[in-house]
Amino acid sequence: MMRFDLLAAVALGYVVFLFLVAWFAERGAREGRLGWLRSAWVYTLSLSIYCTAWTFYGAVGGAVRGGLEFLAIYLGPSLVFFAWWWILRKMVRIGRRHRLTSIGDLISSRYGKSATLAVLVTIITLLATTPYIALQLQSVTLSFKVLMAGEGAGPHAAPADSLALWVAAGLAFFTILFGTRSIDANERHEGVVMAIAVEAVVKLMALLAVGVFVVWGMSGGPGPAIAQIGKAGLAEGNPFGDRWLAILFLSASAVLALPRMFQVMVVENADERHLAVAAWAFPLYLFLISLFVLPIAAAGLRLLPAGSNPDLFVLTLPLAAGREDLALFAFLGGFSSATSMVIVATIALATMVSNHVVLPLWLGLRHMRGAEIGDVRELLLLTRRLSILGILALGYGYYRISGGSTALTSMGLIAFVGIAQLIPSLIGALYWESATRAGALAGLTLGALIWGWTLFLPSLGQMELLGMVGEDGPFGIAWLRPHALFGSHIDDPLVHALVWSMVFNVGAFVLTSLLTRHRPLEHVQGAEFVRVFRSGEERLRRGSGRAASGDLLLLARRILGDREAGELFRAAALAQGRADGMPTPTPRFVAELERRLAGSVGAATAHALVSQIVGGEAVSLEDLVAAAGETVQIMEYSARLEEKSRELAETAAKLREAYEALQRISEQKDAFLSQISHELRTPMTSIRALAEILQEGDDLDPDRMRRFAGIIHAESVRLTRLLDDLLALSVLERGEVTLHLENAALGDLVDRAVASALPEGHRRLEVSVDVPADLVLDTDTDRLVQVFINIISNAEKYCDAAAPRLEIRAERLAEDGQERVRIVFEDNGSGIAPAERERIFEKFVRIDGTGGVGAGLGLAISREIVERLGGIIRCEAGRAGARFVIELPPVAAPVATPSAAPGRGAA
Amino acid sequence: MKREEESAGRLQGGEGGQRAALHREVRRRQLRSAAALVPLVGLTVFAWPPARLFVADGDPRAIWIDAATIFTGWFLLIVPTMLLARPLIRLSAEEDGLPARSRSAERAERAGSGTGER
Repeated sequence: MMRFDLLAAVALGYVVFLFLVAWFAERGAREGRLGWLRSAWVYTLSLSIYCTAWTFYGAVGGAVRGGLEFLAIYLGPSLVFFAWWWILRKMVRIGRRHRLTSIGDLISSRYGKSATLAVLVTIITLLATTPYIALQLQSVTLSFKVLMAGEGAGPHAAPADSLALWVAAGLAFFTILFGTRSIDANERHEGVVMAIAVEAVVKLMALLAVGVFVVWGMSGGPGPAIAQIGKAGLAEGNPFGDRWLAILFLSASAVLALPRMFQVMVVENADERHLAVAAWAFPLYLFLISLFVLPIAAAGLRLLPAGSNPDLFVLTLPLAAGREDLALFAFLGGFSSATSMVIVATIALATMVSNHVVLPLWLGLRHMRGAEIGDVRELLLLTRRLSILGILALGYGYYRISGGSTALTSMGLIAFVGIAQLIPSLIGALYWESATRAGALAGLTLGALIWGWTLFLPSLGQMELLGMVGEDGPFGIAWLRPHALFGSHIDDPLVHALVWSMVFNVGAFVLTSLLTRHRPLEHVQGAEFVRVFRSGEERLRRGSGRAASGDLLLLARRILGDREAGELFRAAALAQGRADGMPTPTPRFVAELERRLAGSVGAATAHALVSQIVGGEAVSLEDLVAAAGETVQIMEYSARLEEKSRELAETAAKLREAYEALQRISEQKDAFLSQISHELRTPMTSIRALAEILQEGDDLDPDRMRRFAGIIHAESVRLTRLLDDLLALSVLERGEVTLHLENAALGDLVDRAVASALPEGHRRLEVSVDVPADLVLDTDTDRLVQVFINIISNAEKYCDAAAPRLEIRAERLAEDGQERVRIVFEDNGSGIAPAERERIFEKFVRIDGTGGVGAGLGLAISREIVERLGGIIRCEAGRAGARFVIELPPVAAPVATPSAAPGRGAA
Repeated sequence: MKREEESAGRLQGGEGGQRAALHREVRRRQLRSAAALVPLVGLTVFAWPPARLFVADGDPRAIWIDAATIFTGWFLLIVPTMLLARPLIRLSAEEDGLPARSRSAERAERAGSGTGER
């Protein structure tokens, strides 16, 4: 029997040795030396991570309890590796191409980069790996106890639970040391792989050593050993029933879906060709490691006391034969297989937890707070270390709750059923393009729930405590009994759990996939995954054919245009010495074409388009995403260009309107100047002519002289009036008018205007006034009276009725909640033609044929005044004659003028 | 005459090329079939081991006969897998459009490579 400190020192020393192996290997890899680190043999040996303490100890225990059943655990993976060409090659190819880092990464990536799937797979693998880790803790603890059995009765014996705790803590420490010293972008751990390869040799040698000793040293040779197998009573009856098939399926699933197997098989794969060696070498390893299990089991049953734990025959047989050295070697083998499994499994799981759970959460929180992302490496390292501690704590917890007495094989198979829930989604991911994310979610969820209910929870032995299970099922529902779901009569709990979980898993996966539709990324990923080999075949067919050149020309024409594409292709063909104008798509020409296309559509898009045709490289998701990004940028740029074009068009339209307005104004100006010069020249001509006559007319009679002087005076007055009107209009148009507002009765203003425009004794027009006495305006009275005078004067001048009459009436109006005063001037003449009603308000316009006098500025001035007072003036169709309407606000607020300076007028 | 000889030579080369291509395709199909057959045979042998056909219930030799059958079948499947390894590697390279390499070239590459290919 051995002392605990010796065993601990041996274990510690061995782990330090493995750590040094890992450290040297990593350093060698970084420095580019030790190319053999990446040999197919190291890769194959690293796959032995499949063989844990369950193999080292539990295989013999399984053989004792179940006969040949233990072999199914190694035959399943062997079958998978024999079929490497169809399954593993595809997984490795996909993993390398898409740089996958875990099984969760593969499944989530395939189904549209689903974060939900990644989290679900992480949780399932975490739960499924927990019994597996507990198994390792149990085996190491038991091995310590067996080797210290002499101290077991003493006061210094270490209790199993605290021993398991120390083992878990030690494993956590070394796992953190091994796997989280740095973050590798590819999640590669060359050092760990090398350490596993060394460990594979150690455990195989240990088991073979014990086997050889048992066969030749304890049984008397192969013949007697084989004979003893038959007599040992290692399970009777036909072992190849449902349970055998179930374990075969489970072990095959495990080698595909276990996180640690994915890590070493796919992530750590340096060369796809290594699979071809592993395809036969790994089954050979499994063959060798299983070779002596039956003889050891038979010898244990024959030579050890009844009731001995068969899981520990590998240790207890050498001890019973007095070979402590061999027992120590076997202990090392068992310890080695347990630690390597724990280290790799927790590294793989911690990677999934940090990548799929913690990091997305953290990034989401940062985004919500608008903070910068920063360097996530430190966070990743921290989360992985914490995850490792958490995972081992879970394993230890399971070990404590399950009591530590469950057969190792049973615990391992519980884990296998959990991991098998990933298989339908995984196989669908590799071979069924129509599989959808919803289907995978449904299948995984249902399968995991059934597994948890029928196997995982019952294994904890706490179902009764939770009140969930009684004789009649949970809450009296018989068909929900964990060991007889839906009233089934499958005796074996393992087979029962496997059947129901797979039925629901596969059923939900297939049905939901058929009933749901792909999202665009699922569609792309589906084609990428399922047809991962086809681009290679296409490359084989199309690599240098005319078909590729023709397609490239078509592509180039679309992007560069016919002329430029034609010139490019002709020049390339000439350079290649081809007379047909169609170059061979050599790498040089393809690169040149890509460069030219990139100038129009961006580098990523150009690369993706060209790659599709020549098949030089499959379009990866990164290319598509980059191309999509460029496309988005181009679309944004186009949208901005369109926006600018629209703005330019609007500006051009405004400029055109302004130009037309300026042209109109220029024409008006010309017309104005022409009219002004005419209006000025006419009286000036008379004044000049008469002045000349007066100047030269010595013999003019005094009457004629007075008459001529009168005409000169009248014309001067007319000129002055014209200049005054022009000045008034100019001031009004420039907005430099100063309004003097005051309250005045409208009736008074009308009377004043009538009196001024139509002096008594010189009145032709009869005027009737109907203005309410209470109508008061706050207005510039002089200017408003000027307007009234102008209109009344026009009526006097232009009303052609036999008895000319002018009606002036006013009323208060309320429109749209606003009060206005309406003043109407209507005569009984022939009226104003509709075409002239607006024109008469323009400058110098007199209605043709009216014989009127004046410069034609009165109504223009009147309009300016009324608008400055906040009103409107218009000419309407009257009952018969001309009708002018003025509308003013009762409390006048004159219109603000643009050039009004502060303090001037009431603008 | 010379032109006719040249034409005949090209014709023969064309036919020979077609025969070679056909031969290569047949070989590829055979390899793929073998790659599928090995695991299928393995599945049949392991799922329904034939030893039971020769063993009566209760025979004490049953277990080691079963074991011997399985172990023998196991080993026998390892052998063709090993033999098919290299041809399948070459087939994979052909399908990927890569040139086939000799063993010495592969050995030289392994000795020289120090960093991963990812």
